[in-house]
Amino acid sequence: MTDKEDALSTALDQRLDDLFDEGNLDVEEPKPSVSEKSSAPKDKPQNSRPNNFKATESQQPGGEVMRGLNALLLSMEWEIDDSVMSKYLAEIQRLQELHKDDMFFINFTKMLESIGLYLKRHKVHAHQDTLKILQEIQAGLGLLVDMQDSLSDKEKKIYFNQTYERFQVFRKQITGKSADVTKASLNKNTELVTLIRGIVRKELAMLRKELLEELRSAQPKQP
Amino acid sequence: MEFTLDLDRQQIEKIEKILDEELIELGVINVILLDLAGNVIINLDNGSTQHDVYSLAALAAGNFGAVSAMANLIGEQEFSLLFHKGETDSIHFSKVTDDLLLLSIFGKEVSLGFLRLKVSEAVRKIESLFG
Amino acid sequence: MALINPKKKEVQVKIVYYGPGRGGKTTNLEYINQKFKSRIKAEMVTVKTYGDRTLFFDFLPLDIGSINGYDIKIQFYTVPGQVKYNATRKLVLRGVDGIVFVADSMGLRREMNIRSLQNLEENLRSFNKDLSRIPLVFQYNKRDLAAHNIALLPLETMQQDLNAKLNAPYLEASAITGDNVALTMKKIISITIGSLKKKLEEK
Repeated sequence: MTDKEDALSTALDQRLDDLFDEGNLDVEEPKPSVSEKSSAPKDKPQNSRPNNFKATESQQPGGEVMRGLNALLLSMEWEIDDSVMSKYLAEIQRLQELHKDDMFFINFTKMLESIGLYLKRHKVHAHQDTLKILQEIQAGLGLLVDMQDSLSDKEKKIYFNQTYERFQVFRKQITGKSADVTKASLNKNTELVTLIRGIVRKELAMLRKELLEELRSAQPKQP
Repeated sequence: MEFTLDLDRQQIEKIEKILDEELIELGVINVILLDLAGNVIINLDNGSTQHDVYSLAALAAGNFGAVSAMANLIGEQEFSLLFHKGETDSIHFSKVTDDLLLLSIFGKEVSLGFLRLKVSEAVRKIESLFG
Repeated sequence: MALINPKKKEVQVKIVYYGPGRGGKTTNLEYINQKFKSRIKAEMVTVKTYGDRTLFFDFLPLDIGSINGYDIKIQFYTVPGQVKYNATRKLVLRGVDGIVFVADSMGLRREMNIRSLQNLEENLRSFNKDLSRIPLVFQYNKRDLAAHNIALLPLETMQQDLNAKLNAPYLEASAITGDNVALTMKKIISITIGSLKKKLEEK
């Protein structure tokens, strides 16, 4: 045995002697009833929060119309791969075909389509909020579908604008992010956004015109 | 008696960097890289937690072993998704190599689908470190 | 398979308490956990099944502080003793650095001790490990029962049954009263770390 080894075993023995010295316990152990650690997590507000998770799984907005799309979004919650993304985009196209006369519906789905394409293409490199935005916009569309009959076009427009703003903010985040990650795919992404912007502008212009006419006709004639 | 891994300081730092960039930045609360004997190799967190990582690692290794044995019993090589969902926080397990496991603890604001993407990306990067 | 982390300057060592069912493995760790609570500052984790038997394992982390600049963390595990839980026993043995074999001194348990030791040897072999080359301490438990007029195996018999070839250190103990429980633990830590150090130097 070398001196070095000796020193180690002496140090270890000393440490163990100190640790396991039964004759010299500082405080006689009061029976530890509940340990600090096991009680720590209980400090968290465990039951005070509403269970958001359940709500998103059982009662999603949009009813029958949105059922397929909502199911696919839930699948994405579990796994994001080409298969689920393709199905998602296909479902959007199917819905667009079915609702081609409903411009609000079409514009909402265009946003979803754009984000869906972005997520499909970038996957792990996509912005970390991508799924969250998709959920927000899709829930927004679901609400629009649910309240279809009780909303005026003006209200729908305000509603759309709010969502579109959110989409815009996200788009800026993405372009900021992807600028230093992937440049090639950026062009296609901006193309899409420009496309959507074009559609939305046209749509808004039309709405503005309609609204103005409506307001004009509703105004009492000046005496 | 062998030693699980011969990781030097530099390798550990590289792995830490990968885990930090891929997972902690995503919003994951706590990432633990452990071996199947239950040893903690790397432990990173977002600074707002104090989990008992040694016990977590011991239980995770045992749990992973138990679940793998279950997979074999039903004729599966292994299960690809090992995940426990809590009301506030959830745990996701992923095999990195035959001996290494990655455990991620994350809150509601992180989606599992996205976490899984990030975890496989991190695993890919770690694998490439070992050549 | 100890884990050495050169960045954190930390060594993790795994020590497993093995032995037949109801032999006192969990009681060993519980005693340490209760008695030295204030020093260990650790948390014992236990996965129990119906009727308070160990289902999976017990786990007690013990930080013995810094030695030669390395922070030494010992992880103690027990295995479920019941015969039917062999799959879990194997899981727990994975990566073991040192073993305490807790044998039951009661006359009735003689066969069970021998079978459990054989089982340990087989399980280690499945990991390509040789029992004779692993740091090992025998603890002949429940010696306190002699005072209750319960027939105990003579020490010589136990040594002959279990330790004749292995010739490992052994202690008579009582996990329930705490007799030699800490000493067993000290012994296994000390020979396991000694052996690790030797392995490290050979590398």
